Amino acid sequence: MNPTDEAFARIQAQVYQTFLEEASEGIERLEQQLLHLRDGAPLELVGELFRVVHTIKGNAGGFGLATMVGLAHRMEAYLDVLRGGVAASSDGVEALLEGTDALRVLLDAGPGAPPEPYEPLRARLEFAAAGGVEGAHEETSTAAPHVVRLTVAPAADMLTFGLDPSMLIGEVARFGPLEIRCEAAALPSLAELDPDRIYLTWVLLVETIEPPENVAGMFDIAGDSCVVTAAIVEGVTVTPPPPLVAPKGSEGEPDAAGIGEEPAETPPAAPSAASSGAPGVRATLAAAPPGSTAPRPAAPAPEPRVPPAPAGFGSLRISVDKLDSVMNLVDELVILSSALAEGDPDAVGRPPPSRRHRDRLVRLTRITRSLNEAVLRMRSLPIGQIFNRFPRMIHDISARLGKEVRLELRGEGTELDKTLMERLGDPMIHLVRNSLDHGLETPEDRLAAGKPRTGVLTLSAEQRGDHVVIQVSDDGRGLHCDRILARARARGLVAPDARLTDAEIQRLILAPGFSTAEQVTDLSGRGVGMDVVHTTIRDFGGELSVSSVAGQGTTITLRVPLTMAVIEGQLVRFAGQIWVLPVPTILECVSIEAGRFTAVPGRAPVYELHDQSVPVLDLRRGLGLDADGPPGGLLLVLDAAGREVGVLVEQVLGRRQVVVKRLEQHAARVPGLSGATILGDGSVVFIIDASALPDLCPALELADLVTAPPRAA
Amino acid sequence: MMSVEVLDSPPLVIGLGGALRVGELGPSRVVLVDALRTGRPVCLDVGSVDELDSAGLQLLFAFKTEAGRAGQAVTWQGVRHAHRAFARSIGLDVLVFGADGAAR
Repeated sequence: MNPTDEAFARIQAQVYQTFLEEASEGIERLEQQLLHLRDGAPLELVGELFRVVHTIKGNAGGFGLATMVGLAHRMEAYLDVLRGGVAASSDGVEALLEGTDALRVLLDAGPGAPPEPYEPLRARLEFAAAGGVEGAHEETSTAAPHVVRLTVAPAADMLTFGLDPSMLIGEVARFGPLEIRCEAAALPSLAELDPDRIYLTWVLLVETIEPPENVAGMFDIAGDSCVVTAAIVEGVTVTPPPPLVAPKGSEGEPDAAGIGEEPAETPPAAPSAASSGAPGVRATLAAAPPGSTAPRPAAPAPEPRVPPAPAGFGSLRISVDKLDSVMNLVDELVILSSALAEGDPDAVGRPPPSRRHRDRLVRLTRITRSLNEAVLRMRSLPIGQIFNRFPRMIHDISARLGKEVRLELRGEGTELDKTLMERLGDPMIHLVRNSLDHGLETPEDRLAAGKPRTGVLTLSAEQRGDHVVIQVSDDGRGLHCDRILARARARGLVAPDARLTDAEIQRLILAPGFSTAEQVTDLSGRGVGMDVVHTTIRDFGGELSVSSVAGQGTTITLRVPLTMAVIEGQLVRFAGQIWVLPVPTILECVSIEAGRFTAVPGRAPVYELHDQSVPVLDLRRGLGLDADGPPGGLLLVLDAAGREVGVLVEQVLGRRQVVVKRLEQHAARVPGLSGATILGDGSVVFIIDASALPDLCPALELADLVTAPPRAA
Repeated sequence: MMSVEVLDSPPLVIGLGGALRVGELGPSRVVLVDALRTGRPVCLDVGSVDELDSAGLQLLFAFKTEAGRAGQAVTWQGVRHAHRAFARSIGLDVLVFGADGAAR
């Protein structure tokens, strides 16, 4: 492949990637909004859905995805009927939803997708479009091939918009054997000819099973730049040209765009792949960038065949890989900035840096932080991208379960780091399925309980400081603490004589393998759900809490960091090592006084602080460290997933931004640690996962408590 | 990117090269118009044409058509497989370059 070919292929790949992304967004939009058609959606929405399908169809046509074009065309036709004010039928909406699913499958399959499986669906869409009249569109769904005659009249200035007729004409060959007739009735004399205008028109004859409008749909991408008519013609035979003879040594793919070093005078040899492949002629530059000729390095590149960006020119589509590489560089900058701020350890005894130098360091730190925040914002996406998956899912599942559910969404615009967003998807799906399967009752049960027959499932998100709080709540039957406790005792998760609060009992559903579901379903109730959700949330520094009132409903609250990449860390020392605690988890730090400890039988000793009792945990044993010697004289009160706990440390050191390196990337997950970071001097220290400590750390033994005077903080 | 060379004997050989595409066809059109005015047989050498689009082919087609009407013979040199394949994709291969194998 010569350099021009490579550039050409690269552009093609980029353009196709853009198409995939935009089509995916369109399909998601359809999934989100089609359900509203059942409720008598406003015509504006119907019009929007029509445009979405039309765009998908047009762009798919530009890439020769004939099956996708055909299906989208039927959906478009039905939506066009609805645009006229006709009420959508439930069967019609279901067909549109299934069509949306099929579009996704076809998009994933790419150009090789077979047309056959969608014929029944297309027929249903036609049926719906005909107002439920059988056979109204029978003539278009016949499987017998016919000849479609297209007239193609490009606008004279089509080429100046970056479109070449060859790109569009060539795609028609994908429908079947193709005969191309070029007509030059409007071609002026050479002296009068404006070489930048197109005077030629074309007549195309294609033998296909597709209706004319599907074939013509291939030209939708050209919009007003091309006038196309299409009709079935009788008594006409399509005569594709004979295979083009390729010169010996040709790679088989004629390349008029990057016409390279191919010899012109070579004797004929084997037919080229391009010309010998069925059906009919395959356009040489069918997938070429506009202008049909590859840009030479020195020439200005023509506009690629990219569909109009919906967000206008004020936004830019950029790959996550590129953002991640910027992110990694910023991480390095943060570490370097921290190292500079710490000063040079070898400079002991030398004069301190000048004030101007220190000011510059402060400024560097500030700019680094701003840069870091800016990159994080670029990686942020509205959580609505997750929420929007659910209307369709809830529609399907509630129908299967015979339940009536109304979904309420709040805070869809709340933004979250893209990586977190991706990892939140599966836990959220599980929580919603749990609510549907176990939480919300059937209409009969709800009515019997004095509730409205339709249950309410609410998904909400809200930013609080450097975290986002996401809640999945339902007004269903709630958690039954007695049943949970009985199950936990039966499984040995709780001592027979243990007395637990309702909150503690409800947290038992997070224990591995715990389930009270009487019947295992394919939705949930396998007993492997909530603990996996809990672990996943904790793995990226989040917390999960459960709140439920029997008979009234359940709320699962996820508290997740805005980002996983950089946190504000507090350096502390205990067990002779330096550790990092996320600053937001530290509620208070005090020097301990021996008289404030109180032993509580069977539970952690508590420290009396501000008239409250804070249970104190043994951090060293919890992390499996050598527990010899006093645990330290400073008490840190931590917010551990909503519970206040105390831990003792020897020393509180500086506070700084630290770059979180996930341990799972390099080693197995370590309980109690959410990651590691590299300090300015190059040393690696671990970041403590405060939310894991109550489950991980044993109670501090007061016998170990030999208070030592706190070192300098 | 082009040269006009009058050989000792007909035909007039016109070398076209580089990009024969929209926005870059003006000079080629002038040369071809001049060639028509000579009334001599013309041999178009497109061996150096490494970019071609529909506008470029349309220009060659217009020249070939008008020369034919004027009785001027047009022959081709350096036609590559890629040139012909592209012309075929819009139904112009035979109209411009003649039947497969004719252009040499």
